[in-house]
Amino acid sequence: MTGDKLDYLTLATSSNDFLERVLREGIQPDAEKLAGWEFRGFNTLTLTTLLGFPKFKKGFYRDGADLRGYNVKIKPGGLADPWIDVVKNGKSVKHGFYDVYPVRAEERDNLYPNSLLLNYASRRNPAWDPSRVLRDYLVQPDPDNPDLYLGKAYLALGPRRIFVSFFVLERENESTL
Amino acid sequence: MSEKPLCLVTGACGFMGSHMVELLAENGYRVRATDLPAACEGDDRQRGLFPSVARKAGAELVAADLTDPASLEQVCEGVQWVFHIAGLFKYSATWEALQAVNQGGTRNLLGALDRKGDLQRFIMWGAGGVYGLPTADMLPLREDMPTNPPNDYLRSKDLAEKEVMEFCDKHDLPHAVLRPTTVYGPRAVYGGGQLVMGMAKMNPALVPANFTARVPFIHVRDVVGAALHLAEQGNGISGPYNVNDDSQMTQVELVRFFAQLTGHLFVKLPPVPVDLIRSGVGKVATWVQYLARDVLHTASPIEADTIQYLNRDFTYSNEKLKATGYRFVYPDPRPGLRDTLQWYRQEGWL
Repeated sequence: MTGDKLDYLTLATSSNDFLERVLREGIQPDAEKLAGWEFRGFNTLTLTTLLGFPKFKKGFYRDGADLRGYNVKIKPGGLADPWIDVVKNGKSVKHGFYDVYPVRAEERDNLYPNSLLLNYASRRNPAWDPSRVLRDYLVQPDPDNPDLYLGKAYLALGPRRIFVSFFVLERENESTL
Repeated sequence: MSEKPLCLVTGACGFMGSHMVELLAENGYRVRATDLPAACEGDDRQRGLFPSVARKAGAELVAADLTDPASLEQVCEGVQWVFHIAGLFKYSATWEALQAVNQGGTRNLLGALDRKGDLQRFIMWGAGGVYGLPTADMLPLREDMPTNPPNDYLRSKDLAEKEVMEFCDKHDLPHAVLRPTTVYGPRAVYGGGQLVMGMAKMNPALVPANFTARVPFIHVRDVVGAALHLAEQGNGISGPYNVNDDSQMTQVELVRFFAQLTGHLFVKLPPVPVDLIRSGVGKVATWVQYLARDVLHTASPIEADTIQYLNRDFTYSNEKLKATGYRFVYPDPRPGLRDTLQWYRQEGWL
């Protein structure tokens, strides 16, 4: 690394070892800075390219006092391409909803106490929705940059947690929900 | 306020020359741009010629040929600073052609400048490859190491570098010989340009797992930025300067990076016998080049000397340049490579 400020491209193309260090050193994101916005996202795992979803957007919105979020489907492409929503019936496709809250020490998903948890076992997802087994940790790598975030996704299979991929988020546009 | 020096840029219509002209003009220097008469006629992407850049920058564009001393007299009139970029950059060219342009042309230019007597700075484009094919104990390559050029192109550049350093030492002139590594950026057609465009087209992106040699990089903006920075330092500069960014990206990492940029599938292949490939493919390439160049008198589809760079580990020290106070615009090549890829796409090159 060069010692320069972290940016989206650097995070999106760095090794897992480096990202793990960044995740541990990051600060808990301010919910107020997330609410009402969509962020362009990129999974760092090569397998996600094969499966066709390296790119996505994550949106955040207020539901009363609670913070919740959703994913937006994006046309396949790379980091050098723009993020273009997949549109169905004139609307971008939203799926994979989640509840957002600070990691709770007493719960099973407490690996990174400095992060927010994105818990997909949300009542907004149907019982048969496979995304319900996802758990994402989210940190802000640079305290001075509330537009850039690093996440780490796990599958929750019973008591087991299986690492899936790191992902990077950067502020893109206001929420379209 | 005194007027800024008159700068001569040779090879001004090419990739690096056009960027040098732009930077000098942006910084208020008076620029005389020169290149071969055919190069000054009009833009030709296939040949990497962009005279429109010099015209747009407001430079005085004067055609000349380094191998024709008479044509250099007018070009060198009143010139105070020189950015000597022109050269024959082709690994498959004959030794006679390489020597005539790279060494002989440099000597002709120095002779013309000597006769005019206005020269204050001479910045020359050498080559990062003049150290030879390094062994692990030689890395990182430093400017105080002896040169050992492994092929005709680099031998001609090495001789040209020596011409410049000898001339400038004799005349006590501030000078710098830039040794750029793999130069990439907008308008690159050859070398780094081929690499970026080739990587961007590779789908799926395949790479043997043992391709762990590091690839040295430098963005063209940093090459011309370093050149101007050194010229502005004045008396403190002398001899060669490696021009290389801070990165140490391996070939596997590079292929993966391009796959991420383009959205192509990245596949790591089993290791391959590199020495065997270098030797086998090298021999075939030598024959193909011989047949094309010396028998059929056409451009060779392959450059035999480049095969020796396959999975060859290169790292360069840039401490000498940094010690002068130069700060890289692109210390990490990733943003620059992404921007370059996007530029190729916008311009329809990809």
